[in-house]
Amino acid sequence: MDRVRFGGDRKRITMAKKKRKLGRGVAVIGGAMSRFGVFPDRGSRDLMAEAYTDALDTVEKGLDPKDIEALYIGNFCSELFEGQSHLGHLVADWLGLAPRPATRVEGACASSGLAFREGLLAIASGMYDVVLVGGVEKMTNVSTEEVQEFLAVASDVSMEGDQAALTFPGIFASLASAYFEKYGASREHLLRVAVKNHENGALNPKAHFRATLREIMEKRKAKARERGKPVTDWADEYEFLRDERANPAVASPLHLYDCSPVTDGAACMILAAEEIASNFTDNVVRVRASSQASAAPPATLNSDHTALPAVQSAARGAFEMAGVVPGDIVLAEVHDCFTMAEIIAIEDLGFFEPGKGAAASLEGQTSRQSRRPINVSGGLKAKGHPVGATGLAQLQEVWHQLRGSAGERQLRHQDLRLGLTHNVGGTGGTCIIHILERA
Amino acid sequence: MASRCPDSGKIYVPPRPICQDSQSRNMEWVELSGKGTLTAFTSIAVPPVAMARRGYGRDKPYVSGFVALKEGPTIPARIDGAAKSVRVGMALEAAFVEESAGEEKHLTLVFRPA
Repeated sequence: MDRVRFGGDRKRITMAKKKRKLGRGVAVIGGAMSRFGVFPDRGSRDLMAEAYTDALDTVEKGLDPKDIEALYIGNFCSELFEGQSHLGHLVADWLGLAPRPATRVEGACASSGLAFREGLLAIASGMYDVVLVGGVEKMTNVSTEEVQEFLAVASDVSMEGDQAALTFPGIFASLASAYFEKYGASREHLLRVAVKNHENGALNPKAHFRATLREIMEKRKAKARERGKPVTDWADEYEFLRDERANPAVASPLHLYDCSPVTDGAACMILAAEEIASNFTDNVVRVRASSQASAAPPATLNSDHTALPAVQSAARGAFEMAGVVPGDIVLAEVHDCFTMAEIIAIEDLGFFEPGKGAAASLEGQTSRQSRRPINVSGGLKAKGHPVGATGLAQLQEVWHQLRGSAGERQLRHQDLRLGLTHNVGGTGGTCIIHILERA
Repeated sequence: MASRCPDSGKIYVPPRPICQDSQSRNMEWVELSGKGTLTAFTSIAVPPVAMARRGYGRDKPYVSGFVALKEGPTIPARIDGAAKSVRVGMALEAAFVEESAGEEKHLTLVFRPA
């Protein structure tokens, strides 16, 4: 008998550069987030149930849950936070959706962006017509020390962690040092990002921080007065942010208010094949592009550390798939795990030239009133960052804005046709970008 | 120590079995000079538990960053002995120091001003 031979000469199948496309169109028919915040008596299943029931209520013409055919649930690390792994089937059961297939999807902070992509591809393949995608993280039940240790496992533990003791904020802080050096930027640029995102979060009823930084500052003054303590008379929120006692350093140049908070929360969206979407809604929003990329830890890249290559790669793929350019995007939810990350993001996405993102942020070119608002939801900074839920929280914000249901946050000054979400995992190892289009 | 690909010449720290460029699996061991340049850094005031055990904290911050080694690769590492003079672009060289966390001793790779 002939033996099968392995390891022979490798023949390259040279494939012409393939343009990515979906097998068939996919639309979003429902989407919501739970409240984001600190909820001592609620676990990941409770949060997921809240997001799910809210999402069902957003389906215009109603959806019988029995029509949901599969679930993809994004979650970073319930093993560590709750001592519970294998979330997919537990969520399916809790939502009354067993025995449908339920898969937990993980990509650190990009987990639910990836879950959305899995749901999208499952429908585009023809396998399912209606899919539920969810994302959840329960994080506030452990000590601050434990949160930092758990989050650190999303970095390259042996190198960034053990060898260099860099910490998560330390890695983004290092990118900031390289950016400041190359482009002459400073903390002043970072402060503006934090202030803007809190201004936006103040309009978001489900955000973790529904307060501007000015309001937070005034509250601190009031509390100090109440307790008969000395009151620092900061002239404005920028002076507050520059005060080391009010805003202590975490990893220079990043301070407390440059970092997204520790938050509990969930988000949920319902996807359907575009050809049946009119059964559920007259306001069809379709997925125009989905693009994902991976990268080595930034600390091991031979670059000047002022950009994230996984983002640049995913962005190229997204714009190519959609057949549009950055200038066509009218709103974007980007991954501001730290203020510096937002500045790098808007450059990596091609919204601003390399080195110009800092000044653009300072000058208000990313505010609610600008031509292309960034993080109208409040971003991770003010909305909160339950790690596994963030990707879908971004996507449901864009969906609500495109269909006109964003309440007090609703943008009205543009023709809202194309919105983009930028979701990053860990220290830039994973990036998933989606472009949604109002039909 | 690093691994080097005989086909592409690329050097990897930490050593790895597959070359990113050529996909070669015939990697060789090579010893590096320990010299490099600082490309990014930060001073950490909120340490992880392992560093808190070594006495670091807000009153005793430490510096870490990315070092572009002379032979090519970039690695994350602790930066020692630079204090106020640390800046992107400074020349560094590797050293091994022993740090204590209570009874435990840890041999630690650091980079110092060259």
